[in-house]
Amino acid sequence: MDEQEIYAGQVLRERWSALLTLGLLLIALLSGWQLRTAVEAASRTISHGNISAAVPKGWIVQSGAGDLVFTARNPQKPDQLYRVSQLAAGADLDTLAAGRNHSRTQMDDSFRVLASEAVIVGGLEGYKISFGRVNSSVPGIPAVIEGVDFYFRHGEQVLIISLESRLDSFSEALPRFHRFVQSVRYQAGA
Amino acid sequence: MAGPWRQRDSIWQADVASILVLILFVLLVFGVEQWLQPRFTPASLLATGIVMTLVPAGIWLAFFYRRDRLEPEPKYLVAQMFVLGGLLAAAIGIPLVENIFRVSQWLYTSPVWAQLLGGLLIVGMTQEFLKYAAVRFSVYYSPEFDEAIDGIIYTTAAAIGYATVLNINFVISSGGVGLGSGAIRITLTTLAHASFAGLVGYFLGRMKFEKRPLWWMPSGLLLAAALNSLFVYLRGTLSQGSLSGSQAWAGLLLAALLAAGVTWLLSRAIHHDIVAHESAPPGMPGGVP
Repeated sequence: MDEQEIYAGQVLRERWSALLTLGLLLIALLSGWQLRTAVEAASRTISHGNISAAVPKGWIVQSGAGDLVFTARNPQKPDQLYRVSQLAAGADLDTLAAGRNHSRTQMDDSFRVLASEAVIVGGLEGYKISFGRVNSSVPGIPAVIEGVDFYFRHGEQVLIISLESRLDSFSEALPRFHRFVQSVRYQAGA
Repeated sequence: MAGPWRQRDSIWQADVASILVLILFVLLVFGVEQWLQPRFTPASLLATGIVMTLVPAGIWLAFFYRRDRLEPEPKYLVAQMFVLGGLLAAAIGIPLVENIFRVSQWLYTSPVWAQLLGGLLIVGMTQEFLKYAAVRFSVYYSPEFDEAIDGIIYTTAAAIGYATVLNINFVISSGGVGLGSGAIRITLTTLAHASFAGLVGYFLGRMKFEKRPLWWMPSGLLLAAALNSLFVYLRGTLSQGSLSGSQAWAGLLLAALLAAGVTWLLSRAIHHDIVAHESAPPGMPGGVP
């Protein structure tokens, strides 16, 4: 075998090695994507009174007082939270939502209702309020918060399941929130 | 060529010396912060942080000149690798890891096994592959890449560029860093990237100058990515919360130990190769021609 053939063989081997290395990277990234999907879908079930829900793993859950049952907060994004509240059902969902929005406007003059509509989630009829507000309690520039409230009637009770997140991360938080909404269970009389 | 490696004691001396100078840099910055207690505006804090990111790169390049004086290696090629490493970090590495995989939003709060696996598959593999690619698809076929140890030199240069851009990105996204904590974080990142890249360069150099199997380079990359992942996990564990105080010092010690450990292992591996090469009969693979 002359020197040129040896050199050509070496170059060929190096090229295959480079292709194999690139292939390994692609496999690693695809597996990494699968891992991300699995980790993000991971949740733990919590129970507060007669309400149970699957909150994302790693989120900080705090019990509430009054109408507020609990909040679950993303430790990576303190402005991103889920809130579950419980009210006595005294009126239609839209009337209840309008009254609650009015109270919130009086307490926070940056609160704005962006849209409201009747919805069906997981076969359950409900009412949806989209809103925005400004969170000025954070250090530095105040944050614009976008949020959504889902109202569902369960017998004599109404559950309000809410998401709040910074404007720039709201849409990416929605799919996970929808899974959370569908995981919320209410047990009458528990 | 006299063999796969030429003994370059000056390189290991320079590596050890540069690690010591980097530790001295951190001590100095901590001293300034403790005794002078300077006050910064947001703009000057940001500017100071960016200047600090350039110090480890400057120290490494200065030591490179020392190496160069003893055994010449073209400075322009080293500078090209440094710039290329930085460009790859800015154009591919950071956008892929932060914007597409969004690791900061899920990885570091996930279970330990997921942190280590995600660190290997996403962060480690991306970073180590880009350092490898910087050398493999540019200087690799250059006549200047004429001995196996050049793989380590050029890959380390690319890694220092990569680490510098990572550090600048960290400073800007944090709106500036405290002097002491910033110096630790910046030094830690630079040392770690340089040492893991040394490993990639070792495998790359041997791939070029020896008949190695096809899986040789992928295994080297996987090993470096695994070390990278372990390092990021340990650094995160040790520096949770504030980056000041004893935990941060433990982090610096960890990085220095990792860098020194990988350097020592590389030195042993090269020494072993030289002994094997010299003891092989003339004409045999790896033997003296």
